Amino acid sequence: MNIEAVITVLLSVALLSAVPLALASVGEAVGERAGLLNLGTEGIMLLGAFTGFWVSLESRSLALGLLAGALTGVVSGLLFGVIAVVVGADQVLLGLGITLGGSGLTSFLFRETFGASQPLLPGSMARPPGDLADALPIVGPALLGQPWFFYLAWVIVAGAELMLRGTTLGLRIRAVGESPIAVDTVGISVVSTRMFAAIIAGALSGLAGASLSIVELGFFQPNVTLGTGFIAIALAMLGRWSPWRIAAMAIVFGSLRGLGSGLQLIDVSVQSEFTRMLPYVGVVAALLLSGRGMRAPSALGQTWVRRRGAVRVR
Amino acid sequence: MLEAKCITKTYGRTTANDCLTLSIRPGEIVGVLGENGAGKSTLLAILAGAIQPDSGQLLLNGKSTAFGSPRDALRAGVSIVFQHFALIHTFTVCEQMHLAGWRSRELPDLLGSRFSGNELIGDISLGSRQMVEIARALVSRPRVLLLDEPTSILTSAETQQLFVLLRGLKEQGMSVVFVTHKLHEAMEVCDRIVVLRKGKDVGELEWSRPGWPSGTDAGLLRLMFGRDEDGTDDAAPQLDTPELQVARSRDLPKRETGSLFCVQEVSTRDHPGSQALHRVSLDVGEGEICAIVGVDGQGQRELATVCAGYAPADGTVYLQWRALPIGDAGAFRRAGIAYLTDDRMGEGTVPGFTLEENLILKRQREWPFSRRGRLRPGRVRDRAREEVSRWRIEPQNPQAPIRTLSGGNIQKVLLARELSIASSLLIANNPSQGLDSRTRTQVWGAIKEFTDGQGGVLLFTTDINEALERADRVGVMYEGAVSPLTPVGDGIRSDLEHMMVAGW
Amino acid sequence: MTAHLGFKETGWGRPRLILTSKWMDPLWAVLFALTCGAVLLIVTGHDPVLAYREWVERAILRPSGIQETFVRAIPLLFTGMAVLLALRAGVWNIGIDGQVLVGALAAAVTASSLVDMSAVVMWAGAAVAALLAGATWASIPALLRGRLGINEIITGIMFNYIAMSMTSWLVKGPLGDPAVVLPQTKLIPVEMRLSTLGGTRVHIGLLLAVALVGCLGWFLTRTVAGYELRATGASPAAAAHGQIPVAGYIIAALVASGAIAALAGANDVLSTKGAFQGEWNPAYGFVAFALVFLGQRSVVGLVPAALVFGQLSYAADVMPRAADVAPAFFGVIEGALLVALAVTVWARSTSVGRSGFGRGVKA
Repeated sequence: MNIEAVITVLLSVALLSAVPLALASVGEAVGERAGLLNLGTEGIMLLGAFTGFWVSLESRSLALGLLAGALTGVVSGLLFGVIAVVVGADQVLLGLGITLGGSGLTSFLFRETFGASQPLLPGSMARPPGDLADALPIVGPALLGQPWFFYLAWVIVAGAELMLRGTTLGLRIRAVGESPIAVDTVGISVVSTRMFAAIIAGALSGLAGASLSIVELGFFQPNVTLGTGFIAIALAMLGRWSPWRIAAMAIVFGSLRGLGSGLQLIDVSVQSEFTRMLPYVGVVAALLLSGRGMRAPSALGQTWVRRRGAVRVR
Repeated sequence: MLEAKCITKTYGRTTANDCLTLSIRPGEIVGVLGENGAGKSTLLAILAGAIQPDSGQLLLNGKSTAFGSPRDALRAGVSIVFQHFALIHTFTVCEQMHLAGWRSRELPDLLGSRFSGNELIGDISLGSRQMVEIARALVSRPRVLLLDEPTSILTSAETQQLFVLLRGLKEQGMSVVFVTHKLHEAMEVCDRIVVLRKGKDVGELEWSRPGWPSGTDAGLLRLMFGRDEDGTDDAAPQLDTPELQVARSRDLPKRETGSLFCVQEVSTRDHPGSQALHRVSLDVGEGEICAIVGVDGQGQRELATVCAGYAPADGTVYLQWRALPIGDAGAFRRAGIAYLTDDRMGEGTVPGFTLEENLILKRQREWPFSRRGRLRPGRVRDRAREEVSRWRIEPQNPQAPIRTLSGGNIQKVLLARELSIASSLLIANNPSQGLDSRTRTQVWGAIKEFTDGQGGVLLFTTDINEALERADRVGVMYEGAVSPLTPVGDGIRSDLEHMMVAGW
Repeated sequence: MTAHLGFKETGWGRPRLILTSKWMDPLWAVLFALTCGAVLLIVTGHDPVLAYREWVERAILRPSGIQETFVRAIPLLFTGMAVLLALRAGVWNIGIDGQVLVGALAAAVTASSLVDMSAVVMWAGAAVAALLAGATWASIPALLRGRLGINEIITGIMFNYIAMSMTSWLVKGPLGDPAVVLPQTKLIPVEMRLSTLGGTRVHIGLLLAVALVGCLGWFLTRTVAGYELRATGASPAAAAHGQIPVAGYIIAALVASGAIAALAGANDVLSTKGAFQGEWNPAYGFVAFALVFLGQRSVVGLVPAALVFGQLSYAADVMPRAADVAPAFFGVIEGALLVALAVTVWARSTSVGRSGFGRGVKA
């Protein structure tokens, strides 16, 4: 195999691996911008991955599978939102519960549904005409030869960036994560703004899970995410809660994550333990390099209740 | 137009509002005057829908209404500017206005001349933030504007600008409720003044023509401070006339004092969110109370933490002519310097701890509370029992969680703790703020006892009356600098007041 | 008079209904989780009554079930103590899984090299090795948190995954037993494992764990360091005001927490497992959090809570055969339990020792 082909393969795998990471991470960032620290991302991704996989296997439709994954995410986000925002439970504990429960539930349902069998989705998603992808040397397949969802995902990421930066809704989401009191004072509901953010975050995480099982892998197995949800949480922080920076980080960490399978494809033998370890080591290294002086949204992780929060009573 | 009838709100055992009634008519500026803790802020928050009253009724244009949230109040045309700004420091002025619902690309006139719109809220001055806050409150075109102590952090020029603005709003038919504890400001701008004391409505004055008649201030003062039922004049020496100042008596004749504590040329660098200190020098003698008076946020907290050894700074701090290692709080404490913080719940007490555990904080490593790393619960308990009975702390159980104590009792715990540390100097930051008269008397009694035993006190206060009443010498803190301390005497009040708001 | 029947005086607050008292919360949470489980069983076409009856009969009522519950509670007690200690200092040690693995590997390697010595020496050597390994492993996230203010939750989780890969590589290669095909360390002979108590399967690890719980309680309430550590967790501002080295305590608590967690790994290697196997991951970490909060974050509560989760762990092994319920079912139960506990924690307290996300602690 020549060097160009190696680069081509690695690049394709890296960019595709970045998709679930970017989606989940942008979802987490939207939530965190609104002050919600959702450690349940891993669990929501698993739920999305399982329902997405199951629906697309049954319906033979990848689009329906992705939709089902996103809807599962919406339901999970709603659950997180209701308990964390409306009831006001502890976010860290709740997130751990969702991750544990999501992992248990998907493993249980997978065994119930498929027993010991390990079904695969038929084929990958439809590729655009080959000549277009082959027109560009080396980078062509990576940039132009990807399944359609690949392109949709980056549009969604760009949409999130525009939403946060340029719309009234984005302004409110950012405000509610910085100072819920300020938002309440101007007559905007803190609870509904945060609920909305929780649902968007859930939807993106669920979609991320579905894209992992349907688009990237083509199969599901218990705990298939392997901590991708947690890497996504770290990326939200490393990307300073801005979707475009997160997208850039996701490509870097996607490459690290996809390196193992990429190397396998081109028959380079490296201990799989090392390639598996790479993204996690990368996150710690990146945190070490840029973690200092990072300013998180001020109200991150804080439950807001008006009677306590609005007015300081002497 | 907007009417509050018999509003009552209690927090635990304290009644913040006791059947208060307030009616607001169109096109007037109503002053709500009262001491700290009189219940002004609570009343305002209830009018703005931020707090729900325990009982009482709100009437809007004669119809009964209820504000379940600030949004309800805004819809009804009531907008509020809080004492602690509800602004987002990471937002630009433009973003802040958009959040409030301002739709135009141009800033409103009020801000247009001052800002381009791209300034970060965190970077602009406190006065400017106040302007943004008011502009923010005006976006919804309210009919009633509520202002909670809007001038406390403004310079006198800024205050005058604010008054011009308020008069303009009044001309347009808007009603303004102006909460303040500054008598003269209320008289300057208000058409009607309601006086609150201890959560009760104690009087109302109205004057239709510009300029209040002479003698109003004396009348208002009487209303504001009143007299206690048991005859102790807790707040009576609120000296506002020279005669009263002369009548001020410290029981003991002035002693010859040697210098005890000396701060020389202390400066700190600019730091976001705090006031830099500029070459501060002062000294405190044995048995002397020196007061540093100033409006909030002039660097009192920063100076107090440097003097207590918590914060690093350039310059020198001496205790009995020995230089202390600035920034080493432990060394300051061992030298006998105690710091009574004003942040009682935040840094003063550990919320999850019991009364007895909080009483030994800072001294947990010392005999008799511990030996070789082990706590001695019996000694800790004994000490707590002793202090509880000496200070009459309620509840008397040493194992009561500290958060079940009232503010006054928490202050007693803190003062008991700090006085057990203080052998030479006590630094006290607003020690009587928010206390009832009985506790205040008790606190000052203990401090006086401390000075009788040759201890020095460095008092930081925002209340000039307290400074003049209690201190031997007074200096003013303004924008990180301290004026030379001058002995309390006739006629210094007006100078101090002027320096507090305008520097020197 | 009626006040004594339905209400009890809680000391400093209003009288509260017993059913809503703080000590009933764990019971409600367990009931909620079991209800969720029942719903799941119905939805997936099982008979919940049958399944739960089988559970009670086979896993709870039989002596073997009770013994196994205790055996499985032992490592959970260690991890619970680790979580609790860090939580009392206001930090979340979510790196438990990794610390357990590293501790288990260190214990296995040390034990197999001390196999010629007496059993007690071997146990002690393995325990010390585990403590050191856990402490070292935990010290990296701890230093990052204490010195640079990097969130310990994120780094802790990353270190879990790193530990999984690293330990399984180590037993495949340099530290593995070349005599067997499977990637694992040398097997410790059965007679060298931790002695059992009175003919049961319960071993002396239980005594050590319970003794350590006692020590932890003593440390937290009776020593100056415990006092200062709790102050750090309850209010870093007040602790700093009290001249307590906040960052130092955060680092120390995380490191000590890692060391204690590693003992869980050593315990498993020296008792039930006998060796460290590649890809082995008991995943005690999240369970430990559920356990600590089920025990109301009290030291005493750790013991009953560990027994509850020990029982769940055993049931997960029994139920597939008994009632055709996959082990993952108990993951759902544990998740639901955590969610329910998250709600009760909020309802009861003002702060959980929440770590400032991404914000540094001034040293």
